[in-house]
Amino acid sequence: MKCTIGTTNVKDFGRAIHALAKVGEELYIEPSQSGVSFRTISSSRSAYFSYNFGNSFFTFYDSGLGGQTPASGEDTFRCKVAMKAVLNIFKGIHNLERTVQRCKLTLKWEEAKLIIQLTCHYGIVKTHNLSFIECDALQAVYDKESCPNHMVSDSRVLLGALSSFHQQTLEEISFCFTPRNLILKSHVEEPDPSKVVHTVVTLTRGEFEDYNIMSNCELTVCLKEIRALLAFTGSTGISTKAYFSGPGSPIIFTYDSKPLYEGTLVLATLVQKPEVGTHPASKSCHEPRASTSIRKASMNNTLRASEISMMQNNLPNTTSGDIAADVTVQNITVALDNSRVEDIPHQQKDVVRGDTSHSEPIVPLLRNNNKAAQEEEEDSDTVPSSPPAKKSRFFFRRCFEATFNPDTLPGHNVILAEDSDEGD
Amino acid sequence: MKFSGTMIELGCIRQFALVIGSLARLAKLCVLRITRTHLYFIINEPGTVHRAPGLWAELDQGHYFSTVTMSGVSEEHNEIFLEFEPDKLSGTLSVFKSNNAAVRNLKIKLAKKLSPCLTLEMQMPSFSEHARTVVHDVPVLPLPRRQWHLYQEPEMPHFTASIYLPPLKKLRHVVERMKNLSSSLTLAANRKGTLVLSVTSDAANVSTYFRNLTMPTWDLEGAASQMDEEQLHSATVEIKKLISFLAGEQIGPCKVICNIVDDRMVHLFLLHDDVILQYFLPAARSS
Repeated sequence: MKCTIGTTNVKDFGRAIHALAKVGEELYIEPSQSGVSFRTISSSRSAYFSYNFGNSFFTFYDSGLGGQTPASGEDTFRCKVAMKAVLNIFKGIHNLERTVQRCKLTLKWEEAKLIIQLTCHYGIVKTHNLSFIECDALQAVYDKESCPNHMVSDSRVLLGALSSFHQQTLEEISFCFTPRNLILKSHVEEPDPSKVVHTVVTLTRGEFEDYNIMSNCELTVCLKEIRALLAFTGSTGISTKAYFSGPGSPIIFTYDSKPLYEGTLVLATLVQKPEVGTHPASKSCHEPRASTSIRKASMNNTLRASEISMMQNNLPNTTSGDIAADVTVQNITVALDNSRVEDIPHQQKDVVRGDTSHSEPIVPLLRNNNKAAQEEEEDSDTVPSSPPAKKSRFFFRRCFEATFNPDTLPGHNVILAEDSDEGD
Repeated sequence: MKFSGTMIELGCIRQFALVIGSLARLAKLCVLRITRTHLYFIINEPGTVHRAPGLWAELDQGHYFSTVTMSGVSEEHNEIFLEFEPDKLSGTLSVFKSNNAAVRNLKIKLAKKLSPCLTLEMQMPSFSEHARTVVHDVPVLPLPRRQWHLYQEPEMPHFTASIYLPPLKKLRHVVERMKNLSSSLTLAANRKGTLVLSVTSDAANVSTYFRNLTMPTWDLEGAASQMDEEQLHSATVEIKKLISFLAGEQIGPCKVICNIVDDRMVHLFLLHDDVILQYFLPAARSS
């Protein structure tokens, strides 16, 4: 793929990269016949950000696909690069518009290189070579049309409202939509509410260009990603559209400057069950925190977490050996069809109870790791077989592989070195 | 315990925000004392005699608030003492510090939501006909009566020299340069209107002389008029604390009186229409 961005659009491109950089660690690039798409996803899988630049954004565009549209599922030219590397190139946003005349992006498949060439004033040409990794498609599954609630607003309105939230440590913010107005609240999970300043901002419906709310709903999202989005749209002056249905399902922000580009940000929202109280499962920005709170909630057997269904052929590299990592993997579902994760612990419990024939409990989601280790030690030499289950099959796929029976290894009864002491 | 006040004038709101902003720079914890007529902000220096707080700021309620209702802990002790973190409060008021904020009004209330807090309600300009309301809850800790004696109005110290300081901006420039040389600075003044700031380091002694400054007249008994006019009375203080006080000079044009108690303390008295600030700097141990 080769494309060139002219002076007027370099600034917007740079801003887009800055916004994407605030959300994710890797930049996925997918060229197609009609344009290029730059996508990223946050490390906790709670935010998906995508920019589609159309042909007219570029002064020259050659997708390199040779005029054929590859059938879906076939390997098209998709790759990902490190976000930091790209961000470094486009740093200094103000200088960008003043010094850069042209920006040329070239994807070289054979050498696995992305070449970014900035032509600046006075004949200076800066060429950056970045290596990329080929990867599979990153596509969030969401449906704008099925969302009953819809709002369009000038980004500066939202930015102004968000500027009232001063606390640097604030991570999450709640949007409470009622037919009359929108209330923004700071959402703090700390058990001690007296340490933090709580802020509530009320915006009446008159402030929005379009406000169409079917029912009241309260959505809690991560503040960082919203700020990244609004920083971009606020500076370019376009309005932001939001589509949402209720807590638990993602909220979709879109904006466009057709036909040049359009952007979509899909954010997972928090679901709060009344009895969960102070420990809701949270899709916060830090993965370790998310895993402990989801684990805690699951121990209370009231796990409810919203998720973005993602279609990704390669699942992430977290191994099932790490329980915490497994729990966060549930954010990505391949075959679960939007089913809520709350069903899983119930099923797990059933599976545990149902398997009375086995002396050893299954890899526990509901118990502490320590307890499990103890129970495994208590067990004798019998090697139990794999547990049967339907949905847990996905999360504990390693468990459903044929149980490793050490007796099946050839030469298992040949003792090469005897035990140095008897017993124990 | 009840307190509720409304400010409608932008200038007053801005002044209030600036005072809180300078408090935030000085300390992590501050005590707000509300009486029937005044608001006092008190910062106690740790380790000093309780009669000499670090900072004592006095604001006239009638000047700032257009309407105030207040009722203290009880009939006989009609006061409220609250401990809070000034930088949290300053954060919520930061929007007022800029000149072009067009805020309609600011309401401050003492409330109990989950825990005692100061609720600030403000109306911001918006694109629609309804104003946008912003509500901040700043957590506060009401102090029990047995601790009230720690936060009483300080007495004027028996100073030996008193002088009006030159414009704080100039002072701040000088002191900031001196900060690099040493950690303590000596302030000296005499009755002829000379102020001397000096620092000593291994390499050099640097002194700055301000002459022909005016002096305030105080009604003192046993006036020390017999004392030599030329004699310099000095005290050595920590530079960092002095700088954090001088940094609060945005409050506006005002007179600052510096009283020096020989080798004991420097007392800075900031007189302004809206606020009276007293800052006590204890003499640093000479290192």
